[in-house]
Amino acid sequence: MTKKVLLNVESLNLHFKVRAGDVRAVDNVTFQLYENEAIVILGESGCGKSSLTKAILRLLPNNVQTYSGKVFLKDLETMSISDETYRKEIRWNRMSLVPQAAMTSLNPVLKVGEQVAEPLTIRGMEKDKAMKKVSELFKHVGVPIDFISRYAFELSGGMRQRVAIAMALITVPDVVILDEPTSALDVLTQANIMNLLKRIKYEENVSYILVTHDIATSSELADRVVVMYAGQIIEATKAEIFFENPFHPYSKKLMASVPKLRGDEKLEFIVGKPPSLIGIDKVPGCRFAPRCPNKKPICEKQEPPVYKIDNDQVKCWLYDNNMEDK
Amino acid sequence: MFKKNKKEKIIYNLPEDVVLSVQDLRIWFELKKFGFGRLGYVKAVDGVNFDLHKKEAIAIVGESGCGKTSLMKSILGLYIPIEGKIIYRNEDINKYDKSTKRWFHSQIGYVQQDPFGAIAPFMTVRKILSEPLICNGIKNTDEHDKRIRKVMEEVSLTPVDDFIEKYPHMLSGGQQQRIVIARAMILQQKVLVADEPVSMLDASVRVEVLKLLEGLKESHGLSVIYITHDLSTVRYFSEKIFVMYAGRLVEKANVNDIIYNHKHPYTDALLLATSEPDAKNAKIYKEIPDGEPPSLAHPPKGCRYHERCPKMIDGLCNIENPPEFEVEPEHFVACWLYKDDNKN
Repeated sequence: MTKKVLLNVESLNLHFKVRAGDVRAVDNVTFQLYENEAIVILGESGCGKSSLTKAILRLLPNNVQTYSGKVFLKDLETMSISDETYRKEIRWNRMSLVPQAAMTSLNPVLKVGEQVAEPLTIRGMEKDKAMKKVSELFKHVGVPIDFISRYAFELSGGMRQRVAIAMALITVPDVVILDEPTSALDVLTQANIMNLLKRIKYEENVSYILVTHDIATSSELADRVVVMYAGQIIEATKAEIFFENPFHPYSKKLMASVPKLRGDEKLEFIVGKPPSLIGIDKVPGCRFAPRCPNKKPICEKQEPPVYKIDNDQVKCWLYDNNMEDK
Repeated sequence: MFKKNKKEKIIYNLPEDVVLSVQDLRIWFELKKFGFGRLGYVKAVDGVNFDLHKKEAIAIVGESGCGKTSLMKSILGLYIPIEGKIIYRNEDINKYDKSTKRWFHSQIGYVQQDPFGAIAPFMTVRKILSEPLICNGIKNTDEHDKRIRKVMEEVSLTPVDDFIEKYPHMLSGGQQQRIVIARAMILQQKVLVADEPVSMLDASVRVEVLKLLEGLKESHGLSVIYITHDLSTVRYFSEKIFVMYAGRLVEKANVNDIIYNHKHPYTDALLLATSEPDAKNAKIYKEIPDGEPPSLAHPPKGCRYHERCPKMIDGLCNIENPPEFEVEPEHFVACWLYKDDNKN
């Protein structure tokens, strides 16, 4: 059975302009999201993963230098739509976001119920009808019904996160983007939220893009893992393969650095720090080469192409068949 | 004559290998009503006992709001407990006179959670590291230089000359955290208190800092109190784990006992909730108790976990607070389920 492509991102670029030059936060990024699939975008802080979610949702700051590429949602090319139509028809109707700090992203002067209903009422639904939908949804995400008329500050962190999830689901979107949804939460609450997200995925047929740096927690949801490094995607692999034995040397190092509860593997760390994203296009070769343990002469001269291994992708010279000659 | 009454010193005799002893510690914060009235207390730490031995690392694990930071701050002498004692060098630290208290502050190193917030952005590394020396009356600048270079080599910020004149923003997160660790050790402290030292760092750097701390502990014979919410990092670094819930220690045991042979239902939930990177996770639901930790201003009667506990014994857990039972040597559990296993 072949899965249908839901979201197709093709050579997406998002560069910011700062005084020192261009910040290439998202640099020629291509990936696909299939129906009812959850992909995890992993990366260190500053690798451009949050910028990628902003680029997909067109939530751009005002110092954008370049914003180009193609984003297909099913058959619709969303990059050529005007901002106004995009706001009305795509953002939140078909793609929604659970923001990074759900704690602070709720409006403190609105009751949470009204806030969750807002995407519906703003598009012309009657308030009673919208509130009825909200109470159904609250039951579904595990928020007590009487919380509808409470304010955000009266809720605990876990409940606020559930409300933020409800807000993203109320319009029944195709894609939900989760930007570090559990990083500010306690371990038990985190596990409960992950259970909730799993249940919604199986029952509602939504697709997730989960952006995180927490590898252990991401495995709770991942069907496929996309690794970003310095603005580029360097690996996209099925979860079964990634968590056992990833392809790219960076992913391997990253997996070896995850502390595990049991077993007695030695932890490793990656020497050095990620390159600055300013003017990175002028440095030849692979962006991970200075930190790479398997560095070859070619890695510093030429940027590696993307190699396909079955359905997975990896951007590394090691997977070139003629590697020996180089 | 106005002769100050000298406070009588009370000497507690601790066993030889105990560095620091916390006895029945209670830290309550007053809740004020408008004006003078008092609404009650937030019982952040409510009856905590433990000993820190020489060259030992203990980890205090708990969710946010369980009182672990209050406990740490009172060990540093920053909060005055309402009841109970913290004994260091055979004396209660809150009964020290002023100069002894000052000396005590130079005896315990503190590693903060957020390195960038903990070091002054307008100071160079040299200035940051010489501050504790100046505060403790070391005036000789040659001596400063010697000590700073030595401690920077110890935290492997080498070559020293590349770093010593830099400002914090020129350093990466891991290097900043090394500066914080170096500052906590420059007075040759024997005890370190580390408050979530790696939680703000990226996964790849996290291990680097954990390994550094482990190495320093071995080479300097440090005793470390490591406070964290992340159980998975504990194993690499400490000998004992104390699990804290709502102001109390619910389980105290060696690392392997906690991970493979834990007794308390809360520890069980905590371990189950801690993910391991495994693709199978996406296919299963975890059975985690619902709800949130109780409010510390109005903690529930009896065991504080009973409202969420799946094994609650009605008529006991919700009425009386469980004492600590020693189920195995050096394995203490505060849970009524083990009242018959008590060895004492």
